[in-house]
Amino acid sequence: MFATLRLYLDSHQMALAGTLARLAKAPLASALTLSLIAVALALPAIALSVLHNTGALLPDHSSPARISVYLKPQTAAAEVRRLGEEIAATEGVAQVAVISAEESLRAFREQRDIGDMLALFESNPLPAVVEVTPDAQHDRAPGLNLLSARLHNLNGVDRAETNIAWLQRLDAIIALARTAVHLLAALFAAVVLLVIAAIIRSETESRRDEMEILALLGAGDAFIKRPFFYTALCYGLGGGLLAGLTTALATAIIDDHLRQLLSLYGSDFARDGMFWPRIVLYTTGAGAALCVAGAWLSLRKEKL
Amino acid sequence: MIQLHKVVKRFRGETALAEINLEIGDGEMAFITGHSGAGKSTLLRLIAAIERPDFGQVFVNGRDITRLARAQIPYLRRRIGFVFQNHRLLFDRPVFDNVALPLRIGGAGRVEAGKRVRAALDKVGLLGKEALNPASLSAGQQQRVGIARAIVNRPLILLADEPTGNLDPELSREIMNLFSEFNRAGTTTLVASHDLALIGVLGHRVVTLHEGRLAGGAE
Ligand SMILES: Nc1ncnc2c1ncn2[C@@H]1O[C@H](COP(=O)(O)OP(=O)(O)OP(=O)(O)O)[C@@H](O)[C@H]1O
Ligand SMILES: [Mg+2]
Repeated sequence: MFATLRLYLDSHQMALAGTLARLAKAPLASALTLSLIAVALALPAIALSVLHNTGALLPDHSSPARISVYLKPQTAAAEVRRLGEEIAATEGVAQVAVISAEESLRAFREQRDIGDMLALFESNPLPAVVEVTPDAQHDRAPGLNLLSARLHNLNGVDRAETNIAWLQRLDAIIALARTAVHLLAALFAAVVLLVIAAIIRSETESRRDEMEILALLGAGDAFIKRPFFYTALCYGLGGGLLAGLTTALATAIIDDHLRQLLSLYGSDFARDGMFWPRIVLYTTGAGAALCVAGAWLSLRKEKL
Repeated sequence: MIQLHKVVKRFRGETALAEINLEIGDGEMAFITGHSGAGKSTLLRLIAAIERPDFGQVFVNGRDITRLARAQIPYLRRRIGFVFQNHRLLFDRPVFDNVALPLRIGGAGRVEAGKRVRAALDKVGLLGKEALNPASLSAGQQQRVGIARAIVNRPLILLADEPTGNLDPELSREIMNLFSEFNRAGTTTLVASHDLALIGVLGHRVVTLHEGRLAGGAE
């Protein structure tokens, strides 16, 4: 039993050793193929990784919805307080925070450039604002938009703005990006599959004699095809490893930029990037699976 | 051991073998002779299921091999040692690896394989040439590598197609004696050759083919 297993493993080891020796014999060709596979895997992997890291922006995110209700300028303090209470009592409102014109002014003064500019005005140009947190039934469209319109129509209110209009736009953009990236990934997967299928095809063409002789000596299908599967596996694992490392490096760089970009929107939505060995594991697995599938594709019809 | 029953083989309408009835007994040794194109190679190839007959049956060790499933053919071939007319060696690897191929296919252990390969090379007088590439050997030496590869697995049946085609008379004799020796050890042996002088001396059964028909020795 153990002896049989040992012999079986022996034969695999020999096939693998033969494959590696063959690849080493033509280092340039092997390196070119390996790089081709690596690039074809890295491109969609980087795109998928960036998509993953912006995942917090996808429709399942739970950033709280807000409505900023701007009151008409020069509204008296008492009237501001009364409007605050009225808004708090409106259906769909969970919480309010009243920010008077003076408080707004003070906040702005702390920002140097704008503060200097404000000095040009004789009186405070800033309106008072009521920050509204909607309740659970109104924190998403269309309930949110309904509530926003209701607040806008109150007497003394200048306009009401939801903070998630841009978030919704971003959601739409990201949904589009996600579709595009998945299409890209499928396309590049097909590229890897076909490249390996073509490479194995030309390999079998040039080793036709060897395959025939092995068959004449009583080798079965599996034995004859084994070296080609190992060749494909080597390309897949090697290319996948390279692609994984490239992707890990590229995403680390892109993540920095992504964070900067998102901080412009006043938020930190970027998820932590994947742990790099996990990226390598994924690309290596995908590479191996695709390459072996490609080999299978081209060996499928081989009859000896 | 080997029986051909009304075997017909055609290549593109041309009849290579016509209604061949032939029986080779267990442990028997026989020569097949005939002019070039008489069908000697085709006959041997039918026995190893390299060619399939158009009509008739071929029995090997009691089984009708014309009915074998594709997946069964490798097992048949592993019991047969075949010396090919054109050697069919692999020139991308040394002599040792060439001779070891049937053992690798059969799944022999490495130590055991090493022993058997050296024993086989010793028998054909090529011990010490294991590490050479067959391309660097003479035609006669390549022929003998092919013979070593055919016998390394201790086959049930040995089929040799012109195994002395490239050898001088003395070496031819040695090789034929080697086949006789194998045969004495119990291997059913069938050798295609047109070296009538040598065949006559050895005194085994001689089957003669003429234009795809048996012309003698069929009984
Ligand atoms: N694969 C093939 N395709 C077409 N014709 C073939 C094929 N193999 C053999 N033949 C034909 O069958 C006939 C017998 O060929 P075979 O090779 O068996 O002859 P042979 O007796 O071995 O000749 P030689 O002594 O020259 O080796 C010949 O006419 C040959 O042309
Ligand atoms: Mg012939």
